[in-house]
Amino acid sequence: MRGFVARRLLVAIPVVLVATFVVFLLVSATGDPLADIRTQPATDPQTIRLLEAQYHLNDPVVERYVYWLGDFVQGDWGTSFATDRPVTDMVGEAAWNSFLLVGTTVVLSVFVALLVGIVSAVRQRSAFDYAATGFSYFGFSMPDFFFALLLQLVLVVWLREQFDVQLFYVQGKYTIGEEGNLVNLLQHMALPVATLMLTTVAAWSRYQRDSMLDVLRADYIRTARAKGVPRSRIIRHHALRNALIPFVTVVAIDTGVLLGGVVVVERIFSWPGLGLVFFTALERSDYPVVLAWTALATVFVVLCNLGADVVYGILDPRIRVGRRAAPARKSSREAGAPEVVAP
Amino acid sequence: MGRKAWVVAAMASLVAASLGGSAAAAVGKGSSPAGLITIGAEEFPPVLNNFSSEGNGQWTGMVVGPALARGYKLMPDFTYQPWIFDKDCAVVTPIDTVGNPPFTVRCTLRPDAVWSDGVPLTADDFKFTFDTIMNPDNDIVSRLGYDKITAFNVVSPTEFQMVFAEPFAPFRDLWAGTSTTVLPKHVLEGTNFNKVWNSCICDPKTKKPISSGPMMVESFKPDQQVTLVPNPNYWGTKATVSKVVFVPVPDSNAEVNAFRAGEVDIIYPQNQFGLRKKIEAVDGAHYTSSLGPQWEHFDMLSTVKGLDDIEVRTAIATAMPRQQIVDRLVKDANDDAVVLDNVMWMANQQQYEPNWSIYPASGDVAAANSILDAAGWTTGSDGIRAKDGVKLSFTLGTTPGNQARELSQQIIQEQMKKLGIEFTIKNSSDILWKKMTGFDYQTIIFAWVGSPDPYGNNSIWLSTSIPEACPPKQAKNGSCDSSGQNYTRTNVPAVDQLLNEADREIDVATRTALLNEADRQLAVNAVTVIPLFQKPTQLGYRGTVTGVRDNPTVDGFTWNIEEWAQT
Amino acid sequence: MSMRIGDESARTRAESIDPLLVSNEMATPEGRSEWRRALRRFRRHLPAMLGVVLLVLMAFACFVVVRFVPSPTKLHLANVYAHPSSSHWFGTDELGRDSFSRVLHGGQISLRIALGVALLSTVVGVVIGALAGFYGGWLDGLLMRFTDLWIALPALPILALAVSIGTVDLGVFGGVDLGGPLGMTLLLSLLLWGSIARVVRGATLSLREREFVDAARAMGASNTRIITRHVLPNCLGPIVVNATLVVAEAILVETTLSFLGFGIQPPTPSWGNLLSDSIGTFEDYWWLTVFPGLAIFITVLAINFVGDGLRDAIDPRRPVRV
Repeated sequence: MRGFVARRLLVAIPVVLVATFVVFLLVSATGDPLADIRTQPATDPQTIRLLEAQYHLNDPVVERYVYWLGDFVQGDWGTSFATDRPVTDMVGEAAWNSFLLVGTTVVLSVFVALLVGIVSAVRQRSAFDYAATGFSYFGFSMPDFFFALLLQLVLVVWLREQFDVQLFYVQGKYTIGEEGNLVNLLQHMALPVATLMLTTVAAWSRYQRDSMLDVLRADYIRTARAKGVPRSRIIRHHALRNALIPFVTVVAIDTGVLLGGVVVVERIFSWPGLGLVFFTALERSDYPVVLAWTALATVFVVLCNLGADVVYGILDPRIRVGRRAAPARKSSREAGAPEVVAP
Repeated sequence: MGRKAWVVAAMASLVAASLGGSAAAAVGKGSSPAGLITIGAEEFPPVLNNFSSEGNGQWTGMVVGPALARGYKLMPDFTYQPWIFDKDCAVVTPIDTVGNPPFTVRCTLRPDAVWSDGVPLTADDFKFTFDTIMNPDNDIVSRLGYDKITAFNVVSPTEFQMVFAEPFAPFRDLWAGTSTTVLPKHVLEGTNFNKVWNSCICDPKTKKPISSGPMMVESFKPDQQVTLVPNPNYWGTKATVSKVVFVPVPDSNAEVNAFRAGEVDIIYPQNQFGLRKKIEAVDGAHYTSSLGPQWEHFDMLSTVKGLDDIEVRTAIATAMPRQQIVDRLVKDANDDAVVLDNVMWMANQQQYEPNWSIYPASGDVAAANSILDAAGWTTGSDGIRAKDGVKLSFTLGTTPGNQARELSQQIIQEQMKKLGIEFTIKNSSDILWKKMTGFDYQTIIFAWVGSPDPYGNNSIWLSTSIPEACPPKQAKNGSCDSSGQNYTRTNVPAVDQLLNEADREIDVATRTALLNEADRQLAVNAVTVIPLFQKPTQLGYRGTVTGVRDNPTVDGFTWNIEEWAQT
Repeated sequence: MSMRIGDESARTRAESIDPLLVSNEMATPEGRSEWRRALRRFRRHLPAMLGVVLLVLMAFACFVVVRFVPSPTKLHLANVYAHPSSSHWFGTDELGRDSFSRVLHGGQISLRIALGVALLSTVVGVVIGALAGFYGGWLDGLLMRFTDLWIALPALPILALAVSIGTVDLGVFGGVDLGGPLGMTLLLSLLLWGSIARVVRGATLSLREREFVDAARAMGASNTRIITRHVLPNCLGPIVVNATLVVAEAILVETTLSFLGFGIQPPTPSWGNLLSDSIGTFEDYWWLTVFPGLAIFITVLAINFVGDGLRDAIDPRRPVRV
C-alpha cells in the first residue's frame, strides 16, 4: 500500500507541472498585468518600464515559468502583483475558508445522501423514492449560480423585506462586529453550503440508491433472506456495508472536483475563499496567485483520487492495490462499479 | 458504531446550532450595529497606495480619500475647492517679461492643518510628495504635469512655489484628486514608497494609522475588509459616524441582494439595468445618479481603408443614433442623461459647448446617405456601399461583459445597415491592449476618464501622441512605445496648435475658448472619436444613513464622509 | 473532467456498466437480438421516452421552427420589455428584440455546441482509450497519465482563461474566436474527453482477453480490425451513455461560463448568455429569465432521463426503473 501511494504521488508531480505550465501559458497569453494603466491617458512611460522589468514581462514565457517554478518548489510562492503580499499568505487563509465550505458540504451531503439513498433503495417505488428521484433530476438540471441567486432572493431578500427577519446572509463570512461568533458563521455558511449540496446530494443519493439496489439483488442477500435473517439485519450488516464501498469512492473523487466548482459559489456569496482569490487574481492578471491556485487545485484533485483508491483498498478486502492484483483498477473511476462481496 | 454515533452527534449539534442561531438573529434582524456604515465594493482595492499602478483604481481612491487630504477638494460640479490650501493658488506675475519667463505658482496652506499624530502638515510635505512622485524608482502611475516643474521652493511652512519652464494652466489639477494626496514627510522619509503603504496608511515605525483627513484607515485586510474610523485630530469638520467598513461584493446580482437585505448600507455599482427600480423599492432607501467624467465614445481608426475617407466618417457621425442609445441604455439609470456633444468638457461643466450637435443626436440617415452618395460610394448588390473595390464593411469591437456597450453596438449596427455600411461585432477582452495598441482594429467603443481639466486627455488628440505601430507580438509582451494614446491616428495640425496653446494660456475664459475651438476642429476635421454619453454613476444608500451625496469626479462618493450621519 | 458534481457521479454511473456482462451476448451473432431487447427495454422506460419526446421537440424548435421566426437581432426600440403576447410569445427584451426568436437561436447555438462537444470528445476519448487499453504496456501508461492530467486540470478556470485570449490562429482552421461557438466547442471537448478515454480503456482492457478476440486473432484479423469490429462495438453502451451526459454537461458549463462572463459573447445569443444577462432584472422582466432558464432546465433534464434510460436498457442487470 505504501509503495502504491508513493508511486501515485510521484505520478502527480508531472501532472502538476504540466497543469501549471498550461495555465502559465494561458495567463501570459491573456493577461497583461499592466493592461489597465497602459490605456489610461497620462500614464508615465517610466513607470511602465519599471513594472515590466519588475514582473519580467519582457522575458520569454518559458523563462518566466522556470523562474516561477524554481521559487515555487523551494517554498517561495512569489509575491502577488496586485496586493504585493506573499502568495502563501493570501492563499493560506483563503484555503482554510474554502475547506470549511467544502468540508461542511461533504459531511452534510454524505449524511443526507446516505439516508436518502438507503431509504429510496429499501423502499423502492415508494412515494419517498419518487420524490428523491425527482429531487435528483432537479439537482442535475439546475445551473448552480441560478439556484444560489434564487436562494438569496427568497431566503434573504424576501424574508427581510416581507417579515423583517434575517436568518441567512448574502455577503461574506461574518457580519461586521460578529467575528468569531459561531452562530453568525453558520448563518453565513448556510446558503453557499445549500447551493453546493444541491448537486452533491442529488448525485450521491442517487448513486447510493443504485448500489444498494444492486447489492440487494445479489444472490447472497437472497440466500440470507431465505435463511430467515431479519430484513433490518440484512440491510444493515450485509447490504449497506457492500454498497458503501463504491459510495465512498465517488465521494472522494467528487470532493476533488468540488474545489473547482466552489469558484462560482464563493463569488456569489462573497465568501473569502480560494475561488474568490482566484477570480480576483484572474481579473487582475495576477499570475503568481493564479498559478498557486492551479497547483493547489490540481494537487487536491490528485489527492482525492488517491484517497478514493486507498479507501477502496481498505474497504474491499479483495483488492490489494499495492500488488498488481487488479490491473484494470488503476483508476478509481472504474472502481465505481458496485461490487458484490460475500460477507 | 462509535464512529457513526459521533457523526450523528456532530450533525445534530450543527443543526441545533443553526436553528438556535436563526432564532437569535431573528431578534437582532441582522442590521448593522449603531454607528457602523457598511459599504459594498465591487472592485476591492488590492493595495492602499493610491499613487501606484495597482492602487490607482477608483475604489482605492474612495477608500483612502477620506484619510488623506489634498490641496483641493474636487466638488460634484467639477470645481476646485481649497482644502489644505487656504485659498486658490495664484500665479505669481513674472517680473522679467522679456523672452521666455519662468511661470511661477504660489500656494499657501492652512496653518491649522495637522496630521493625526499632531505633527503640522506643512509645505515640506508637499515638497516631499513632489519628490516622491518624481523619483524614477517609484511605481507612480502618472507624472503628467509634475514633470513640467523645474523648481519646487518651500518658502515657509505654509507656503510653497512651483516654477514651470513655460506657462502651465492646469496647475490646480496637480494637487486635486485622490491619486495625488499629500504624503507625510515625517513618517515616510527614507522608506521604500513602493512597499510602505500597500497594506496600511500608517507610520511604518509604530504601525499606527496616520491621517490628514476626517477618517483614518484603522485596518485593511486585502480582498476582505477595510475599516475607517474618525480621525480625532482632524483640523476640519469632524466626522460623526463611528465606523465605515468596506466589504467586497464582486457579483453584481449579489451586491443588490446584499443591499436589499440590509447587509450593506451603501452600494456604488457599475451600470446595471433595473438597478434604480430595485433600490428605490427598498423601504427608505435612496438612489442618486450623476453624470461622471467617464465618457463613452465610438472610435474609428482613420487609416483603415474606407474609414480613411473623412466623408465616410462624417456620414457615420451624421447617422449615429446617439439619442436612441442614451434613451435606451442610460436613462434607465439617470433621467438627466444627455447625448454628449463635446470631447473636451463634460455636459455638466460650465465650459461645455455642444460642438458636436452639428450631428443630429437621433442620427439623420437621409443626410448621411446623401453624404455618401456625393462622395461616390455606391450601393452594391449585397446592399453594402463600395468604391474602387473598397467595401464599407468594418469590425466593431468592445470589451466583453459590459452590457451597455454591447447593446450600443447592436443599435449602431442596425442603424448603419440603413446607410449600406456593414458592422460586424467582434468583442474580445484583449481589445483595449493587444488590438488597440497594435492598431489591429477598425472601430471600437470604450470610455476615457476625464478630469475636471481636459489637459490630461491631450495625448488622445495630439499628432505627436500617435504611438508607433505596435505589432501584436510586441504589444503582447509590452515592449511597445507607450508615449501616447492617440489610437485613432487623429492628425489635425490646427488641433495640435490649439491644445498646446491652451496649456500655456492662464486666462480661464480664453483657455476655455481655445479648447472648445479644438473640439470644434475635431468634430469637423477629424471625426475620429464620436462622443456618445457620460457614464452615469449609481449610488444607493439605505434610509439609515444621511448626508450621503454623490460626487462624480475621481473623489467619489466618500468625498463628504464627515457629513454622513446615522439615524 | 467535470465541473459539476452531478455529472461527475452520473458519469461514474455510466462507467459502472460492466462491458463483460453486457457484451457476452452482444458479441455473438445473436447480439443483434440483444440490441433489440435493449431497445425494447428502452422503449418501456417511461422517463426516457418522455426525454426523447422533449428533446425531439426542442431540436425541432431550435433547428426547424427557428427558420420561421423574426430575426433575433432585429431591434424595435419602441417596443422594449413587452410582456409575452400573441405577437411576441416570449415577450421582447431591452432592445425590443423578439425573445422567442432569441431563445430558439440561442438554443441552436447551445445545442450545436453541446452536440459538437459530445461528438468530438467521444471520438478523441475513444481513440485514446482504445489504443491504451488494447496495446497496454508503456503506451497505456503514457496515454493514461496524459488523460489523468486533463482530468486533474481545474476546468472552469482554464476555460475562463482560454476564452479571454480571444481569437487564436489555428493554422488550417484559420482564426478561431475562443469565445465563439466553434472555439467553445473545441475548448469544452478538450476538457471533456478524459473520462470517455478511461471508460473505453477499461472496457478494452478486459475485452481483449476474451475468447472471441482470441478467436478473431487466430483467424488472422489485424489489430485495427479487432479494435473496430470486435472491441469497440462491445463498449458502445458506456460510450453512448457517456456521450449523452456530455451533452448535458456542455450546456450547463456554457451557462456557468456565461454567468462568469466567459461564455458565448453577445450579440450571438446562447441559452447561457440569455439567462445570465437577464438574471439581474428577473423580478421586473421575468420572461427574459424564465424562458431561457426553462429551456436549459428541460433540455438537461430530458438528457438525463434519456441517459438513465439508455443505461438501464443496455445493462440487463438493472430492471427498468420508475
